[in-house]
Amino acid sequence: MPLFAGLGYALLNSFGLAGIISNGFTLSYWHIFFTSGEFEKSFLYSFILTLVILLLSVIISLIICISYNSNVNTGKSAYLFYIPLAIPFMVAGFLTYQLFNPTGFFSRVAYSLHLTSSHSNFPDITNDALSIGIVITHVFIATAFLTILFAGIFKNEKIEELAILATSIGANRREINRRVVIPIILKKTFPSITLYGIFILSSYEIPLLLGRQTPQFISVAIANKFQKFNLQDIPLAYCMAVVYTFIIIFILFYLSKRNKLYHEND
Amino acid sequence: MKTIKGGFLGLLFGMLIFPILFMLMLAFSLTWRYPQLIPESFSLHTFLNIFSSGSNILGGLINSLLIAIVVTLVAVPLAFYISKQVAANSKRKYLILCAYLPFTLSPVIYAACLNYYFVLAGLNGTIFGVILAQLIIVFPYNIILFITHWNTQINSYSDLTATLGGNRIQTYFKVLIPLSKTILLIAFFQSFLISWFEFGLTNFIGIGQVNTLTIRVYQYINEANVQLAALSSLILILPPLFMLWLNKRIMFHQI
Amino acid sequence: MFVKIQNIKKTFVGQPVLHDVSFQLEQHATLSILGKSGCGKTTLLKIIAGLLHPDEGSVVINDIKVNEIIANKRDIVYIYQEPLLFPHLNVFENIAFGLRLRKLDNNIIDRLVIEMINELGLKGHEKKIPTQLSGGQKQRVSFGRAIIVKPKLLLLDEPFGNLDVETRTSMQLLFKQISEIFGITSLIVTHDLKEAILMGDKFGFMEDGFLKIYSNKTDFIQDNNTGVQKEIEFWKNL
Repeated sequence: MPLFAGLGYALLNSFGLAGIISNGFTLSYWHIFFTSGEFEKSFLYSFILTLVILLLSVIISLIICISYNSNVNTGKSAYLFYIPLAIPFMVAGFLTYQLFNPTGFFSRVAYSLHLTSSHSNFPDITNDALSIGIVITHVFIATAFLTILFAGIFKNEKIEELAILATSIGANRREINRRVVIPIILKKTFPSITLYGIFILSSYEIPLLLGRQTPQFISVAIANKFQKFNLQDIPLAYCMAVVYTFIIIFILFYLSKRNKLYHEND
Repeated sequence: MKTIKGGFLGLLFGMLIFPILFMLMLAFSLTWRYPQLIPESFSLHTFLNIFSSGSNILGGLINSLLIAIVVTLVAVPLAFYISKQVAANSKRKYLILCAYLPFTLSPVIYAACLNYYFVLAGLNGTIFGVILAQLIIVFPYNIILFITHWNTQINSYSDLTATLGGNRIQTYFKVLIPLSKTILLIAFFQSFLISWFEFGLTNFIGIGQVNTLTIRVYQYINEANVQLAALSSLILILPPLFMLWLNKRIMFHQI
Repeated sequence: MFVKIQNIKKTFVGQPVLHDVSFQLEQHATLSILGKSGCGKTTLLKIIAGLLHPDEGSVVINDIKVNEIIANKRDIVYIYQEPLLFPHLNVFENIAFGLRLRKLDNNIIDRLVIEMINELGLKGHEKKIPTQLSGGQKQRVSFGRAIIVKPKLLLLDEPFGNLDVETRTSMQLLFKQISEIFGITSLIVTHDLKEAILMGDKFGFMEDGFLKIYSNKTDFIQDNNTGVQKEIEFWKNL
């Protein structure tokens, strides 16, 4: 499989056995990898951001689904939730920048409403330390995706009917949501949410446009090392790529072990 | 309470449509000085610019279409056939796990690891190289899409056709493909969209020599050419909007 | 003997499913095999149809060993419990399906299919798609589709299991009728006692992968394992 060929080459390069500047077997690049802390910072930053994005998106999607179930599943309004999915990450990042940068649309709205007196008063949430721009962009798209996903579960698992049943047993709306609706939805969509989380973690375009300088999102960090002119960085980039790949393999393996990746169809 | 709820719903729908409207505004704006809320003037100049040789948007559009169509037409039928063999294989759990890897790993990291082989084969900076690289992601995606399709019932149809005298080709064309119409259409749409949206891998393998619409958008963003970036973004999202609508209609009819 | 099944053995994941199964069947006759779920009857049918390979043993049809012949060349049709009609084809095309695979002339196909439709009592339903048919009608179409290709052997896997009692009885009678008209050789597996007795000319009982064949109906009825005696006692004691 091409992946293993690529991984194999990456491993060789990281040990100095392949590549333009290879000089024979060396652990020096791995030494730099473990001591510089760059990968750990990038990965941790990416991971935490991914969790924040997933949490926010799941909560918002659940609220939308539970409150507006009929609108999400049927009728013309259901099509609207597909719009964010038609927007590629590159364009989404561009839009966020145009909307939220200090001279962007919302800054102008704030100025019009006399909330700010100039563009420098408007908080810069693009390329900022908290990566709010990245979060907003991903949450916008992820919420649309998860809303559609949850709405499908609502229908397929006959959640409305179960809710009625729970009511007849004596549960109120809050208890039904807490004990019936949310557990069923989350259980059924756990693999999809995890996979989407991996997508966010691996995303490139949005952090490229809206990310901070350090630490960088993991895919941006690795890609930058490959594409810069410093040839010494390339084996280091391979080290990072190899470790990152193994992390993803581990997560997928764990999901697979819990039979979450593939449901036997009968 | 109902009014508040209805109000929030309206706000939600507004948020969903707003990006498209905003991009339209940007694409046809001429000057938009701070702190003007909307551009002072609009013009068709940028739109007409598409057709000039300088903008490269048309070239990017054609390349994007070509790559997406080829990738789709190769990956989907191949994956349709192979996924059936994978589903019947005793080691299918590991094969499926392998299939998940290429597109869950960041395409750009994947491209970086494979770049060496592409350079060796002289495929760097070529459309063919980009097509091949995208196939390595789109093909396993389709395997996963199709794998749950091969359930007991469809396998029974396959067996039944065999006992009625159908050979393999007849079974595929007279039974399996008609029965799989919905999922095949979904696969075609989704494969097209994955390829159409692809940037990181295309940029890496194409090394700036393969011009696609997403690469155009990125370059205009870098050049701070907002109008062209917005216009090429609009062109980029039109086919997906249409396909998602078609996709939804098909899925609607299946439920 | 037209059908000779000899010493069929099959194991799945270390578990034996069929133990040395053997029987013979004359042409134009029907063998009923009675057996509970999980006794191995479906595995046996699939081996005969060529959809599974036996670990040992042979399948001989009309003095030709068919073990190495692939399913679509054996002329043995397998009918599932579910009618499994092709949802994208109407009644006419479902029945014509096997004939179209054999690339027969369209006029011949039309004639044969119309004859079959009349025989099955489906006149007026030719253009209907499967979702517009009742359970019994679907099963008739399924039979028609199987019988029209004149198979050497017809295998029926609990063919009436999905139907209500009344429809089941009428379908059983219809099948017997059609079988005689078209001279079909068939093997029916069922867990329904009454059905086994009604449908068969010869009888067998399968349990845990072992098959016992009876020389006549009386022996089948007398054997305590088949459950006929229990059934008789039940009705007597009511």
